[in-house]
Amino acid sequence: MTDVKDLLILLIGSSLVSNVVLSQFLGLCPFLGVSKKVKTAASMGVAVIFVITLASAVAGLIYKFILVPLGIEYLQTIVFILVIAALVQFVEMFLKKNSQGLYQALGVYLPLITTNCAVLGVALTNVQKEYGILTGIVNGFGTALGFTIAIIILAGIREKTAYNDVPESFKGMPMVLLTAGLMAIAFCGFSGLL
Amino acid sequence: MSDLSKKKKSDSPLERLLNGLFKENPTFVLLLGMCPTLAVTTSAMNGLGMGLATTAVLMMSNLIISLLRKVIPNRVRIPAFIVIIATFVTVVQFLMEAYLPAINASLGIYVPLIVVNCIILGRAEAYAYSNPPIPSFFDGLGMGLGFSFALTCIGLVRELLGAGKAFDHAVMPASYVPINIFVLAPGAFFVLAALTALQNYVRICLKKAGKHEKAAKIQSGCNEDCMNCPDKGCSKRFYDDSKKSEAKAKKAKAAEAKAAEKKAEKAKAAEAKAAEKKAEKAKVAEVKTVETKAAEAKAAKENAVEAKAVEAKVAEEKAIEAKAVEAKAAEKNEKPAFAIREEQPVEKVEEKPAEDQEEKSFAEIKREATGMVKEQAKESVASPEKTFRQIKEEAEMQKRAALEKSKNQAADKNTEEKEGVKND
Repeated sequence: MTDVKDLLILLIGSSLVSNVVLSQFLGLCPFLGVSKKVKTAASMGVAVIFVITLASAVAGLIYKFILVPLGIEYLQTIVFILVIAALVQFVEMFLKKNSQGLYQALGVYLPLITTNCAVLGVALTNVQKEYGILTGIVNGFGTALGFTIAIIILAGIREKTAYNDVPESFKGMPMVLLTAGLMAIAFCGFSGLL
Repeated sequence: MSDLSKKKKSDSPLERLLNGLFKENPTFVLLLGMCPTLAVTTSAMNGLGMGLATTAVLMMSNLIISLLRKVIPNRVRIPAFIVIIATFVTVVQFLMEAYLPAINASLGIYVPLIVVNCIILGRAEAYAYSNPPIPSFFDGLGMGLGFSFALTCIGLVRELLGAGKAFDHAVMPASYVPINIFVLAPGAFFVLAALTALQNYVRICLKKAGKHEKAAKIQSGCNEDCMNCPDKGCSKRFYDDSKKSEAKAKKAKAAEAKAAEKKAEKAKAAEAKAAEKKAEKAKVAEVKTVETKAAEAKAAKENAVEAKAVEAKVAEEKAIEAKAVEAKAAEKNEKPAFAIREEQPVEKVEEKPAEDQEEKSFAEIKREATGMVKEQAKESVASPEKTFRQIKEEAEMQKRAALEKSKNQAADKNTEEKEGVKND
């Protein structure tokens, strides 16, 4: 079995060194779209952590116990996207039925995560890098953690710079992208960590 | 096909091609599919490979979805689209693995991630699901080529600046020092920032030229503008907090407004009541004054001629019943006149020398008195009417004034409250 130390290294690597947004460009839409306020960004981050961890676990299980024994690994893309969509729907319904508080906190964010490429990206990376189920879950959690860190930092910066006087053409998305670029440079510094 | 193109000129294949390449270029104009745009444009070759793979998927999925558009139920269309798209993505992935292994390796995970590229789902939703197969196919081809063109351009710029190469051939002079960051992740953000700024600039220029409508509208999955997505469109529901708070504020304002209205209504009602009371009082008072006047008149007439007092009484008692009474009063007048005549002889005895004169004068007096009485009665009849009218008018004026006042007060209150809310 994998060592705890290896899992810790994997966690740091997936969350900081190869940040899902800033170096892999996955999940850019919510990263740019939901980063206007720190509060909503944090809620989105928590929802993403929840969904990606669960999805990587379920996708790993399905791959190992259904696709590989049947020899239909080539269907992984279709299966994963459908499983993730169904899972998100199921989680939404489950929370609505059983945990009103959690549903109100995360419910709004869940449906859009279905089309978040980070979820599918993590599931496919886990298969591609031949991670086991536990390693896959840790990788998923780390990736989602990296997403949450990045989106909260971006939201904080955007709150501070919202009313800055920038040239007309750079208002809105260009400024956000420039901010994200500078953050990406900062995150390049983590590459010496491992 | 030709029939279709004749029927709908805007949906001809060529028009669809050019539309995808220039007018609604998915990357430069619509800003769709940003994840692969940023991720794979480290070189022009990568960009071209990704673009062509996406084009293949887009064409085929558009064609199939358009063919099946009458079969797929509306409610499950998104999962159906996803399955169709994922099928073609898998096909393309295996084709690339077999025939273009180098590009497949450099694109890596982004080939299967074509599934979640929002251009494909967006075109399926916005065009293919509601249009015939041939235009849909060419729409997919045009969009795909536009996407490929854009990715190649961005890749070329990044490769040129970051490595001094174009399609892996060194084109820059040897003295050129590559700006490495443009090949790395931050460079992608900077290039895209410059791109969106340029788009903003074009949009602003179009707005200034008054061609606002010509600025392309985004046809993403939610048919909204991805450029300003933080404010509207599919990310709108992420801002439910602010919406809720806005709604709360609105509700609070509405409640306050209602309360203010109620207050104003109450005030109006109270003032109206007060005005009515005043009017009633005034009426009563005026009636009293009329009565007192009448009484004074009585006294005066009693002093002048006792008999006429009866007439006055009769007249004034029936004053409110108007002119019809006058006739009766006149009839009644005659009776007391006899009584007066009966009394008169006593006076005549006392004042014999001037009997004729006095009789005449008496008759004159009688006539005068009756006339007076009639006139006074008329007056007393008319004056209450006048006064009633005046009172009514006054009361109405007062009511109006009260209404205006209350309205003003309510308006002031509202403005104050609104200002208070704003200040809060």
